[in-house]
Amino acid sequence: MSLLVDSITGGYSQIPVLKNVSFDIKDGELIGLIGLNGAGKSTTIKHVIGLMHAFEGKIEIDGQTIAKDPQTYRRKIGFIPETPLLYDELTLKEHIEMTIMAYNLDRVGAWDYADTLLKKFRLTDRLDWFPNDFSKGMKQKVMIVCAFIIRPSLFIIDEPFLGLDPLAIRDLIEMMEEEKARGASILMSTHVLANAERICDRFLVMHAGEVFAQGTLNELRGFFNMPGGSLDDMYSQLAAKEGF
Amino acid sequence: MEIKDVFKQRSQLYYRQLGKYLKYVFNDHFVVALLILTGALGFTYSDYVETVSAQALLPRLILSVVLFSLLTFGSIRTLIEPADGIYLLPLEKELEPVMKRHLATAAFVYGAGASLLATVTLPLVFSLEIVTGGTSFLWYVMLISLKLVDVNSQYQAFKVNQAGEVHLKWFKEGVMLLSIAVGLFLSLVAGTILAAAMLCWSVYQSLMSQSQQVWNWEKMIDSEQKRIQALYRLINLFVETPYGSHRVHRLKWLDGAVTLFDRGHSPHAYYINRVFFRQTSFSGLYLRLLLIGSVFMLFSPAIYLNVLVSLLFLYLIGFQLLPLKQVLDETIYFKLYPVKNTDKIRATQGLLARLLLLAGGVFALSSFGAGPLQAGLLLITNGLFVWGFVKVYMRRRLRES
Repeated sequence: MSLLVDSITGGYSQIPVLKNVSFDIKDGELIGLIGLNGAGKSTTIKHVIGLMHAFEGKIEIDGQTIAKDPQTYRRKIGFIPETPLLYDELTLKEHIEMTIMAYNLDRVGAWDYADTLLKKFRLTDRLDWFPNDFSKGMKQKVMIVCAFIIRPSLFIIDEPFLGLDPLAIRDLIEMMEEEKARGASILMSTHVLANAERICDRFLVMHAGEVFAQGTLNELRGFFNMPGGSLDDMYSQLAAKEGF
Repeated sequence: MEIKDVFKQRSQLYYRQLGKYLKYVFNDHFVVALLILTGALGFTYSDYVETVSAQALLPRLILSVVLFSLLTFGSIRTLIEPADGIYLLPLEKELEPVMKRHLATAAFVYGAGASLLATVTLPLVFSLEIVTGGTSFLWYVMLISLKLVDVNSQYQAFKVNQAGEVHLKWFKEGVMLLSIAVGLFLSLVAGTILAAAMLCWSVYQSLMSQSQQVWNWEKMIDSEQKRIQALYRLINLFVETPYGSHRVHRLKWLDGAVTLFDRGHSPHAYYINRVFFRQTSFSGLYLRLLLIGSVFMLFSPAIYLNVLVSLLFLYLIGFQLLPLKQVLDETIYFKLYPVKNTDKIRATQGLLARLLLLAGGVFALSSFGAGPLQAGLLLITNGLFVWGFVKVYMRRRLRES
């Protein structure tokens, strides 16, 4: 079992945003985290990566908790945030060096992989530039490269498709498939439902800080009572519930 | 609320803020120091003016450089904010009267500045016999005209496209230099006529082209940001301002030096090393203090004074670089990386130790003139101080924060 989130309640300063959230991701599984804005997706992610701490419940990656051994726990996660987060002062090359150092990666192997990815994303000739001056999509590519060279056991990817060109989206999906085959688990939050439907093994539908429904597309169809329905249709039902 | 009111509100806020900062800048000590400095400078200047001969070339050259750099200094205060480039975009016409008022204010303030400059330089141009009793008003007319040309062309640059702007700037600066040179070396009357003609032409141009051009928002935003940052940087010497610490420069030529400072495999050290070099608020400060301290020690023969100044400068450098630890604290990645928290303090200590030792070495070398023994003594005291600062003071101070 790769990620286990066991009935966590948490949020910002005593006001719970998440209420009794439980789910798990197995090795080689890709879970789509979906829900309307403000449903608690990002808060869930923050709890998993250890930026926020749950009031109750526990989170384990491969049986490790952050409290027991923060370093081992963190080494298992590759995180791609929704808004690209880059160092103002570092070049693209130095971002990769930083990642190698921080995660204590094998330099040669990591650079090998990084070079392949950089080539795929057409970033090779930008190695000496500050990525902070790049376009949104190119920044996102830098984030993707830095997360993938870690070869983590759990990927946490927040809205990966925004700003990427169609070519890069295709490449990213391919890379995610490869990582799954390697045994990595992926938690992906997204609003691009068409992509999610295509690539996710299971879904976690969040609503108002709770897990509203979870399961495969077929199971969700059963839950929402929409045989043959798409995620889009289910979203609309969820929105109708909110009164839109 | 109209756009006029928005800017009225902004300027109120701006002046209130500025007043608050200036209160800190002009504190009692600084005012006294400033008075003494002004007095001393004035005394030296008046002494110098008496020795100048009418045909002297050097004072004319220096005066040209001083006039040109002071007359092209300063930009129009527009109080345009970055978000205006999106929100105020549809208010193309409505912005006109607001900007006109900014132009008027700038013309008035800088005009007053130019006449002050004319007053201060008047004794010198008298001794150089550029100006005689009856023609001193021409001196004022020339300097004020040139400044107004500068202000007006800055205003024009808010409207034209980038290509035209470069031409405008070159043209303006060329004519300014020419007028100054003609006025100082050939004939003041000719220089003044040139400056006044340029002003007339510049105003005529702007009146003619006014209606058909749109605002260059990017340029306006950029120029105002630069102005504010320069102002804050200045005030920042006295009191903390929201001066953008994020001013980052690539400085590719420094890459060699940067890697020279890399030690070991700590991501913290790797990062703040680059923060130090590429955030000019850190490296610039270090360089400035290093330079001032070294120059002082080059010319000061008294070793006790050197020790005192050296320790003071090392302390100032060290103290101003402590926020490097804060940079690490504020970077979210160091919360996500699988690394220990204590590495932050160690990385900051490591970098500061090397920077301070380097500075201490430079100071000791600069005071070599006082004798090798004295320089050696300075080196030892500097070393001891750095050890104490890094190992004792920093550890306590950074742990507390």
